Amino acid sequence: MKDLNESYHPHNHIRKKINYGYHITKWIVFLVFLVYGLSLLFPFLWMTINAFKTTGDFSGGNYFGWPKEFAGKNFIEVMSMKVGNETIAIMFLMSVITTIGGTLLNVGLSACVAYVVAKYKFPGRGFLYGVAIFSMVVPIVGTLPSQINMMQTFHLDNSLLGVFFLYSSCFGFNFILLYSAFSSISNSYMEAASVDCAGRFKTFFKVMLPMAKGPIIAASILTAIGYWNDYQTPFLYLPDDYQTLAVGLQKFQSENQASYPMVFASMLISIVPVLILYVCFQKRIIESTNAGGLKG
Amino acid sequence: MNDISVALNNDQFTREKPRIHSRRFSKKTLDAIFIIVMLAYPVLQFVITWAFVNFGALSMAFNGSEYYDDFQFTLYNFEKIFTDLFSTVPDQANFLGLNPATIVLLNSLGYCLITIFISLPLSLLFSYFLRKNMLLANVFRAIFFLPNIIPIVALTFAFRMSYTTPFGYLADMFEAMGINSAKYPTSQMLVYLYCIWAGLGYNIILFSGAIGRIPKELFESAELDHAGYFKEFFHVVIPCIWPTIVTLVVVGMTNVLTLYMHPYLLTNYDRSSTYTIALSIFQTAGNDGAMPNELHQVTAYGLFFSVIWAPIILLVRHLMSKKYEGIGY
Repeated sequence: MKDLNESYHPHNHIRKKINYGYHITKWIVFLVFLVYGLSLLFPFLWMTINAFKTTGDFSGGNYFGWPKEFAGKNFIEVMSMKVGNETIAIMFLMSVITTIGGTLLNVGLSACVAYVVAKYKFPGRGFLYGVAIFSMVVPIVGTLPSQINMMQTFHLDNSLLGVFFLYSSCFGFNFILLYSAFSSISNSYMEAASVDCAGRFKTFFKVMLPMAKGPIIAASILTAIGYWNDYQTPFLYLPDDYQTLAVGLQKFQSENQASYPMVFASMLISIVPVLILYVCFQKRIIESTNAGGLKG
Repeated sequence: MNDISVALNNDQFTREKPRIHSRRFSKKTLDAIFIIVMLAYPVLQFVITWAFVNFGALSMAFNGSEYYDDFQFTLYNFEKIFTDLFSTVPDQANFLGLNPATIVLLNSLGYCLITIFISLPLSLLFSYFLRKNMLLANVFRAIFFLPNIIPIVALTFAFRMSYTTPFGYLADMFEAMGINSAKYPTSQMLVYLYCIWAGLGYNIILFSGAIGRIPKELFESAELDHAGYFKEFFHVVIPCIWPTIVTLVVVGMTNVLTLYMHPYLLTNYDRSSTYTIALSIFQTAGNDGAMPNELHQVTAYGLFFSVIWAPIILLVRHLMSKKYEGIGY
C-alpha cells in the first residue's frame, strides 16, 4: 500500500533527488566533523603517547611511534621538577587551593546576593541586577594597571589572600545564573518555612540552598574549571614561588624543551582534573553554558 | 482537667514565643538585618574594587607624572595614541611598511572579523547539521567543546607543537601543499587559525541550544514545502535564532578590546607582530619594572579604545536586534 501511494505521488522524483542531495551533503558534513574532531583530539593523544617515552627515545627521532620503553615514571619524576624554587607538585597544590577556595567563595557569595535580590524587595535591588548585566556586557579595558595599583595599596599583591579577594567578586555570571534559579523557586516555600518558625538564615541554608542544588553545582563546576585554568590573576598576584599550574607550566615548557616527554607529562597532569570533571558532568556543563549564553 | 489547662497554657506559651520575638524586632527590621548581612561583603567588595579601579584608571590616564604617588594633569597620554598611530616610522618586520601602532589595531580588529565572518558561520552550520540526526552527534558535540575545558596553556602548547620542528605535522602538511612553512602561515595567521580551531565549540553549544528550542512544527512545515537544507537554514533557522547570533556577534566584537591570551601564549618569541590592544596593556602592567608614565600611557590607551568601541558594539547590537524583531527561541 505504501509503495503504491509513493509511486503515484506527483512529487516523487523531486523527493528522491532531494533525498540523494540530503544524504550526500550529510556524509560530506560527517567527514568534515570527523576531521575537525580528530584535529582536536590528535594533539592530546600524541602528547599522551609521547609522555610515556624516555627523553632519549623521543629526541632520537621516535616522534610518531609507540614508546620503545614504557616510561610511566615520567609522571612521578616531573612532580619533583622545579620552575625557579617551586616544584610541579607545589604548583598542583596551589591550583587545588585556589580553585577550591575561589569556587567556594565565589559561588557561596553569589548565592547569597542572588537569593536576596531575587526574593526580597529593597531599594537598589534593580540597580544591583543592572550593575551585574552592565559589567558583563560593556567591556572596559585599560584598568589593569589601576587594579594592580589597588592591590599594592591594600597589600594584597604577592599573596593568596589577594587572589581570593578578586575571586570573591560576585556580580557576574554566577549571580545571573543563581538569580534566575532562585526566582523560579516559589515564595510559598519561604512562607512555609517561616510558619515553622525558621529564621531567615535557616530558611536560606536549610530550605532554599538545597532547592537550588542543581544550578549551584553547575555554577561550581564551571567556576572551578575557570579558576583551574585562570592565568591572569595568579600570574599577577601570587608570589613567584607559589604559582599555580596554569602559570608555572608556561615557564616550565619554555625552560625544558630538551625534555619534551616531561613537558607532555606535566601538561597532562594539568588537564586530567578538569577532564574528569568534564566527563562526570558533561551534560550539566553544556546546559549551564547554554543558560549563561542566553542572558547576553 | 488541671493537666489539660497546663497543657493548654504550655501550648499558648510556645505559640506566643515568636510573637514576643516579633514585638522586639518588626518583620521589616529583621528583613533589613538579613539583607544587610547577606549583601555587606559582596557590595563592599564590589564598590571598593569598582570605585578604586575605575577612578584610579581615570586619574592614571590623565597623569603626566613620572613618579609614583604624584599627579600632574596632562592630555599627553591621549595625544601619544594619535602620534603613534600616525607615525611614519614603519615596523621593521612588517612587509606593508605599517607602523607598530597600526599593526596592533589591525591585529585586534582581525579577531572581530575572524569571529564574525568565519567562526560564527562555521559553528552555525556545524550546529545545524548536528541537529539533523547526524551520526555520533553527541560525541562530536562533546569533543568540539573540549577546548573550553582544557587549560589554555596546555591547549596553546598542543597547537604550537603541531608546527614546531622537527615533529610539527602541521608544518609538514603545509610543505606538502607547496607552502613554504618557514614563511607562511605568519605568526599572526597561526593565532587566527588557532582562534577558529579552538573557538568553534562554545558557539556550537549556544547555537545547538537555540536551534533545539525552535518548534518542531516549523521544520515539519519546511519539509512539507520541500525546502532543502539551504532554504530551511536561511528561512527557518537563522530568523529563529537571531538573538543568539546577535549575542555572539557582540562577544566577537568585544574580542577586539579583550583578547590577549592567545597571542601571548602562542607566540612566545615573536610577539611583536601579534600584539593586540589588550596584550599591550597586559605586557606593560604585568612587568614589574614598568615606569609610572608607561602605566599611565597604557591606561589611557585602553580607556580611549573602550570609549570608542563600546558605543559601536551597543549600536551594532541595537541595529541587529531590529531585524527579525519579536522572533527568538
